Amino acid sequence: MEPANDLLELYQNLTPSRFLTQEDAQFYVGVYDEKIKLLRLDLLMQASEKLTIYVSGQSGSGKTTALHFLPDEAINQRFVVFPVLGSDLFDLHDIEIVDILLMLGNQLAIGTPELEVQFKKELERIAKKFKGQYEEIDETEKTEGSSKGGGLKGWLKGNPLSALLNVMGVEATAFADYKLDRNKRQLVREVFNPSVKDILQLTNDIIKAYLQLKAPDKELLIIFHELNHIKNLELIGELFIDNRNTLEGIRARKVITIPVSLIPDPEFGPEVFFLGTKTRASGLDHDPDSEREATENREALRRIIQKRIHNGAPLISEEALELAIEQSGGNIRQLVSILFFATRKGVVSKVETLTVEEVEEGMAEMRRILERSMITSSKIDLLHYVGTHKVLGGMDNKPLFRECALSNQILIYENKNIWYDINPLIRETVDVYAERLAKDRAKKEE
Amino acid sequence: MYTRNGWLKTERKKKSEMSVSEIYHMPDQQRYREFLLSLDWLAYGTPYIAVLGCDSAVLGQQMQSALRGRVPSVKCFAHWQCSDDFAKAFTVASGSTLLLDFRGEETQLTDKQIAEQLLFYRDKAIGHRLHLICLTSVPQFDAIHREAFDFVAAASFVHAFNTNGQPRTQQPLSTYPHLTTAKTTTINE
Repeated sequence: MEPANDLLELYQNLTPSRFLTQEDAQFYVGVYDEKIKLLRLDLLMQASEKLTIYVSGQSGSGKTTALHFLPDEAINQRFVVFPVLGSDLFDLHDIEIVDILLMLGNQLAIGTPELEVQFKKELERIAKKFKGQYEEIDETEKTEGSSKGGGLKGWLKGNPLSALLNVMGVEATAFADYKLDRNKRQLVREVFNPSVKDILQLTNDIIKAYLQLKAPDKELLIIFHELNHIKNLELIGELFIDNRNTLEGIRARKVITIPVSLIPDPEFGPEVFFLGTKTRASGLDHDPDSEREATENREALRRIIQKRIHNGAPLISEEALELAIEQSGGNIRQLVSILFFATRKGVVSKVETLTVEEVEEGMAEMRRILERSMITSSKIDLLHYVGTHKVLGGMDNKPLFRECALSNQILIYENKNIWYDINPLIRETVDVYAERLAKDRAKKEE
Repeated sequence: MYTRNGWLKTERKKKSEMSVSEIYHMPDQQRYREFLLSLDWLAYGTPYIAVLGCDSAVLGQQMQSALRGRVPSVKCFAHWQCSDDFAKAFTVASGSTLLLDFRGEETQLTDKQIAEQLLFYRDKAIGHRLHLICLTSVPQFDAIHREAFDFVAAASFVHAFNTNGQPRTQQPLSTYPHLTTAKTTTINE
């Protein structure tokens, strides 16, 4: 990516599916620098070798990019940094603690044949257990009416455990189909779930051996990206609430991204590093700090766009950029998308500088996406309540909140307290429909 | 031949004989041109995602043919019976253009499953700098918005196209009659 000289280049630089990597460091703006510094400090100074730090933020808040830039010299000197990309390894619609442990062990072992020798006995022990359990299941499956029938043998041909054994030196990609095949995963869980402790122990042993081989003087730092994309509330509960101890039992320092719906959940205890920017002062109370933070954040958002434009090229008017920032609600990707769509209009209309007119077109485009799933009266009620009161009003409707938060219809902000607001792009629509709903209800009551 | 008002009377064409731009509902013709331009403006090595909804089979068919003509190297996938079909589609070389057509009768995955799978493969598509064009029915288009916002949010082009002469597809918020403020427009040929 090169800084843009004209609108077509800017259009290309703002492509929503383009994420900044280390190669694009010149375009990176450290929006969360202060929090990332605190996070580094915790990682370096806290004594616990199993330190677990939870990070959350809304879709498009730039947390994945910020975490890519987390390792600095001090972190790299002390740790072997091991990023785990959720969607590369797991089916995020069907994931359990066993999957995480198995895949982590597998990932560490890939390309390390020495570990095969070291863990052969242990793996064989588990294999025996697996076999025994399989035979039990197999007997059951032979009975009439079984839904699985003879299919089990077929699955076992490429079962993840034998794949794990193979992986220790032979077939490094054998795990590839594990995340793709729900039947295989189910079978493995049936076998392993009663002994999650064993698998955790094995994973920890592999970590220890891995470090001894790779860097005996260092510790392991695992960064779990994208676990925040898990949508199913049951899975979220099982993984981050019921099995939190197991997750935290992995012998490494860990940074784990978690779904935003856990933030207001009283059942989820630990402190969460929230990454998100805001363009307005706190909606809950008057707080001079929050006004300062909002001003700083707006400036950072402005820099994100300016860095992608060649120095001094007048591609966007000051007023238009200000409007885009205001309507982004502080969400980085929303800002980029508004300007991307605005730029497309600009190129079509052959203008040289984006004005408020094009930005309004970009806003309309983004609004269409946000409103497409805003169709039920209960959703309108929730959105209107949040827009008015800046709080959720209890967690009576977890699924609805989760849906609105995941699709950025509700935006989450953090000052001294967490507060919520409706996405500025849909505020007007929600107000109109909320008024109409209120009138309809009043009529019915008459 | 002229009408009494002096307008040139044109013969009415069958939809299957219409050109790809004629078949679109009028406001969508400009959107379709923008979609084609968005393909032309792709920078080298940039990933690209488009989600296109079609409210009729004939529109989808015309769109598919037009795309094949425009991007001859496009690889089309239209059989969606299980999640493995997604795995197969995504094992293409980096930088390939993929047309994923979900509208066929053979599609056995539910709208929700399709949305989930697209979200699942989003980062792979981006990582491999694929150009991904998803052709969907209106219910599938809605499900992708509802279940896979992160996928739609990464898209460079998102639009539900309406066929000329068809009742317009439901717009956001008009799904529930009690919430509707604007009348849906029907343009008859």
